[in-house]
Amino acid sequence: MLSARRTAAATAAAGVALLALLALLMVGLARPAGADGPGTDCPPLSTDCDVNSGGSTTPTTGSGGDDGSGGGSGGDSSVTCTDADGKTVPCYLDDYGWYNASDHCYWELADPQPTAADKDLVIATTGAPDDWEPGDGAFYNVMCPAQPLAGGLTWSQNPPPGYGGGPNLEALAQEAVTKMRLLGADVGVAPKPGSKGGSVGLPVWVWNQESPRTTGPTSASATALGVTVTATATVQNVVWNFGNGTSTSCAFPGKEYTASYGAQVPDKSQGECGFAGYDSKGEYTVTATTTWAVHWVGGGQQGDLSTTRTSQVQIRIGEVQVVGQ
Amino acid sequence: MRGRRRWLAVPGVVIVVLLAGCGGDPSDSGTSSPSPSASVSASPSIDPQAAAKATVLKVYQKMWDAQVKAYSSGTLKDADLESYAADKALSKIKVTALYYQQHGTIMQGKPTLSPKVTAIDTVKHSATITDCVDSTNYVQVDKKTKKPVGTLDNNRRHVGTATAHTIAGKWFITDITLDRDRTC
Repeated sequence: MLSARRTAAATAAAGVALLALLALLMVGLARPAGADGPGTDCPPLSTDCDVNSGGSTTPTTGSGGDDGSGGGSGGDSSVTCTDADGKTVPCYLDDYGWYNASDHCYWELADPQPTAADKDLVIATTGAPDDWEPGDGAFYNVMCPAQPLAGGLTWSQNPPPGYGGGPNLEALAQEAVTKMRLLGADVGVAPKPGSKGGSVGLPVWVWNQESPRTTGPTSASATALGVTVTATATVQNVVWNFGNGTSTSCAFPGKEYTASYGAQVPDKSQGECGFAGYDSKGEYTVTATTTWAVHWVGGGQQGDLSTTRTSQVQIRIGEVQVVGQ
Repeated sequence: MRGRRRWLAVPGVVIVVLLAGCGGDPSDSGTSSPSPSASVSASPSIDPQAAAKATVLKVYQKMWDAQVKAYSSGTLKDADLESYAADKALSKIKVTALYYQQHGTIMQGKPTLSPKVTAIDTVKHSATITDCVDSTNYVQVDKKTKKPVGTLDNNRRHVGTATAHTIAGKWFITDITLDRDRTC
């Protein structure tokens, strides 16, 4: 999440918009604006063009957008929204509205809002549900710089991501995740790495040493514009790849091997993790890929995301030995 | 039969007159338009939809005025676009205005329009306008130097098609297309 470092109030005024326009001029955001002057890339209503407008007609409207990846508008001169090509664009433009980073269009509340008498029209053209009633969601004028024909009157149950300059909640959640400094598994393995190694045919045990940053749960918060998002991370599972084509997934940390287990094969139903053993001797890299599930709450919304971390350890498998040595 | 017809023609005429009274202000809607039965019974010499058509044409003209103002001033501010354009028409005008802004150009002059309402449905409150947009005196110029920007198009008369609908009881142009392959 590179956007929304700083955000400004909904009252972003002409000054910001002016800056925004300057930024627009500098970055030249619209895809159809690629060439010099009017030509094959004319805007839809240019009278100086003999080729129909570039720009896809892909109807991207109607997506209320739920990935929350919009940005707030820049409180300082730093631009915080990015278009489909990764270029920075103003998060708010006077008379165009707020940039929605999930569809790369500017959204502005329509005035007037359609009424009950317009039901057929709005159901047919705006993405409003068949059982739409006045007061259900709202209609926006959507304008897509890179897709000139894709905009139009669009219904959305909730304001789209980034609308009104509120902080980008998902970006805040990401920021909270960064603060957690999550780690991959703190790998425990029997046979021990660096030891003489294990033996062909003897079980291998793996476990993740428990700590907030390796097994969770752990939580952290991030705040912008007075809105705090709190994220909590827990390990969903760890996929253990034993370097011989065998892998196993454990949704629990596993149990540390002790001598009392003897040559017992780890049993998942007992919260044990590992496998029955290698067929041939050699050096093996055991890779543990931890999938962290993150749930976040804040700003009147909540959501989920996930992230992975990987750690590795080398073990040696030789002729008959005793596991755990 | 004849007598009956004359009878029925009366309400049609009354409605038309009432609508014509509202026609002066395009912000007035055509929602109280004649019922289909009225249009069937109206005498052939009177178009019961004339008032609605007039309103639609007025809104269309105002939409163009707003469009020209937006392009020539380089800003949507004060152009009052949203009083006449909605949906696709509004977004296309905005994209076009943004394009001119980004390219440091404005439109100078005015197009000459010859719009006609080619279809209207006063029950569904929708209409189609066909136009021949003559841009002989409507050119894209550099905002600072006012020099015309080289144009690819020597044809200055293009077929324009627009649709209109009522939203919240008021007519709006909801889509507009300039057909670059069709001249007129």
